[in-house]
Amino acid sequence: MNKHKFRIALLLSVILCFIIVSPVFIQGTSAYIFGQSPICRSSFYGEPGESSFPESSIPESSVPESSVPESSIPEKSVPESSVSESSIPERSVPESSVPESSTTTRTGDGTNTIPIIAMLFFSVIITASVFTALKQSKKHRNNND
Amino acid sequence: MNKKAIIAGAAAAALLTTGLLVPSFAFLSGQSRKVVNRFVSGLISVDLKETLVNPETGKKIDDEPKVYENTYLTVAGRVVDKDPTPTVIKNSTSCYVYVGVRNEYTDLFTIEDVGADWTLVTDSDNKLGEGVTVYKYNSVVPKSDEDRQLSAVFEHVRISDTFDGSFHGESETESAIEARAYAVQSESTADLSDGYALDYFSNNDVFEN
Repeated sequence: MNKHKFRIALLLSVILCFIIVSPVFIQGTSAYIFGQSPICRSSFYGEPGESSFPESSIPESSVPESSVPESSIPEKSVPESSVSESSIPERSVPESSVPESSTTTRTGDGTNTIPIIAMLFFSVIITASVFTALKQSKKHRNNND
Repeated sequence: MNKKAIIAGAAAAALLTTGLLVPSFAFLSGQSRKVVNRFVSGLISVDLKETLVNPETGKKIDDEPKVYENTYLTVAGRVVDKDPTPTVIKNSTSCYVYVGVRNEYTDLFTIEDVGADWTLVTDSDNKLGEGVTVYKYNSVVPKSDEDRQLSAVFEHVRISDTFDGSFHGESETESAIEARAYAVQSESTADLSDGYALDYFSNNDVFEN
């Protein structure tokens, strides 16, 4: 019976070892070179109660004469100064928050703390189970003697 | 006893052979100069910027340097300019380029006019988070001595005409669309690169700072 248990423990150890080792191999295959850019963000802000009507719903007659429709202004005619700095909310261009140097190159070396922790955890379990099995088989042998 | 004799015989034969061969090698051998192969790790650097827009109108301001961040006044039914454009920095290893986009409110903002050079990557295993889409540049970007700016992933974002001035509740008056480029070496990854990109963008942290 103890011999049987020992065999089961041994088999379990082999299976667990395989489970532990296989992710390491799988991760190892993904060690390709890659690069990532900084984040490019667009913030949309709403003004409750003011900009809630669709653009298309404004009847033409309600547009005062002085307000020239957007489409009629050729892009070239819009002076650069028309976009005054004050009209751009401060949060719109936080240059310092996205430094150019953050363009990075990394290699996915697959180093991850989770597999290491799992490895340690399973190693302890395996060692304990092997020791228990060995102890029991020794006991069994002593009893037989 | 017989076994011992065989082992002893084998050991003696081995010793004799070594004794005979090593001195002869000493006479005959010569050595060439060292050949050193240096393997330098490849690099991939990629950047992602877009054209500056006028926050009030949502229209591009040409001739201005491209930026990492734009702000838009959200007006129901409006179509605003947004053109995230990746650049592969010079001397990068030849690579596949992907751009991941996180659109928090897909019901309010619709990405329009995806560039002809870009293809939406199918997320058959549902790895990506809510509102995240990944686009792939259709060709391999080869190694080059100069920065290579690719075409824009898309050109416009349409704001829903049901937008009521707030984002799913009065407390939220601001929303964002984030994009990030990812490039992976093209060599040996032809069948794997899509999976790597999906794995990369499946982590929502890549859209945080």
